[in-house]
Amino acid sequence: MIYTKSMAYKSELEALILGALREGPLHGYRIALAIREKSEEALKMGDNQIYPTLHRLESDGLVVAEWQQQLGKPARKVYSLTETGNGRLEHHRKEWQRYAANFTAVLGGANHA
Amino acid sequence: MLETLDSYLVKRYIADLKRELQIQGLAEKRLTDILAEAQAHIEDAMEGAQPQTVADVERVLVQFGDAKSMAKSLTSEYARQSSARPYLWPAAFFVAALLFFRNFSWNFTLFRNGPHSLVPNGLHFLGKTFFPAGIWSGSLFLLASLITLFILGFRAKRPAVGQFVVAGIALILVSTGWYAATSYPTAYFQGYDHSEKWLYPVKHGEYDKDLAAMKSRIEAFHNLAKDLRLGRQSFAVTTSPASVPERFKFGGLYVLPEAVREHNLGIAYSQMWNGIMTASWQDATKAWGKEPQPGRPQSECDEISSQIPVEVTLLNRQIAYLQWIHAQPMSVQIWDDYRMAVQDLLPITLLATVATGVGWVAWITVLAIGRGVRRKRYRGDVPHKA
Repeated sequence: MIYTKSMAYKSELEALILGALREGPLHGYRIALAIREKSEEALKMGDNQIYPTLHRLESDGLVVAEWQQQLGKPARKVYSLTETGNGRLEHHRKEWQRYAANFTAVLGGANHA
Repeated sequence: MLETLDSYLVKRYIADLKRELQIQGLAEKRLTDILAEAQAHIEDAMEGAQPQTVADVERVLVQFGDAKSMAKSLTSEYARQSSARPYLWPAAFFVAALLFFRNFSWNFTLFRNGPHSLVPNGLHFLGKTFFPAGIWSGSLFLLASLITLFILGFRAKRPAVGQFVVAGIALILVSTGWYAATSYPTAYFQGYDHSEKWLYPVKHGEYDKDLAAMKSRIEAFHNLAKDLRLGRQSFAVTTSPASVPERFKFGGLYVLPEAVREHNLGIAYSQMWNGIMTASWQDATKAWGKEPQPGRPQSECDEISSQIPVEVTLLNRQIAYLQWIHAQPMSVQIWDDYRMAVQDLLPITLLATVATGVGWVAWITVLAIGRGVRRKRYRGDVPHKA
């Protein structure tokens, strides 16, 4: 299968969102914030880009969502990881570890100046 | 004042997002949920950022992202989710059914052969009212299949060429195997130089019967040649109507060379069209004579006579081919079996693919027109800038 840039992007975003949800349910803003903060601002994108992926993950059964009412504020949609989502996250983690190991093997170790 | 501007900018963004989602044709329920989610996100972001200036507020909105691209990517995702079932394997049914009905209905005119027609007799009145007299059963089925395939393509919202390629290949392989197991592939020749070779199956158990039928047909052509010579003598200008043998008369009419040909090939005079018989002695002597027909180089009798050697040659070629293929191993026969399967299935599969593809093209055209109309309609809803 040919791995295109858009496929890579979709796969990465999926992994980031699932990773952000592994510690507990979050709403959209918190998911975007978690990705930015945990990557120390290295991974940046328009926050609204997470929503198509979130809805796809919900449709595929990797996350579930429910509306939470708030006093004096608009209701929020909160997302949680499912068992299937957790399994997919594990798969992504292994893929990335293999990817990083392959890259490191080709590029060589740290440059000892 | 800053708080008022803050909420105004958020409201304007949400209004822009709503307009873009409406232009993309998103359903109302989904639209409401998305706007609620976006509003909650932006308000949380504002709360986190604690903006002090207009630039801070706009920075939060920039961080959230462009409304148009969000609307596009969301509607693409929903279109992907809601698209019709991805496979059109049932469409392969139409390809197989077209073959079946083609073989059975090819010679049946819908409104002329009542017991054999595809449409029950009770619909003949309706048929005669709305369709021309010569419509074929197979044509109606073809038309109905093309319409159905068009609708399938329209609803699929995606091109389905690959599926027809796979279905077509599968049908060709199955047909080839079926022909190899049950019949001999034999050929008949046609075209102006009789070089066009068309293959048809002769069942294993009917080999002798088919050979006998072709030899009998050759015999019929030889008899036809004798009858044409006799007919020419009988209808000579110098003879009289009374001297014409009864075999050249039917129902008070004189049979013409064309009718004699059909009769020798097994069709009863009672089933023939009256146009190949005549009550006129003059017309009969002309057709049986040597005088060329209007606009033709030969008389009717000469034209039919000249066809006899050609027909006999073609039948002998057919017999020779059948006898040859009968003696060949399967490795030779299977190549012709494959060509026999392809000659029917390939054009029909292509036709089905094109019909479905046209449906898909119609869908994307309607979608584009709809978006254009919605975009044009919503331009008036843009809120005025402060």
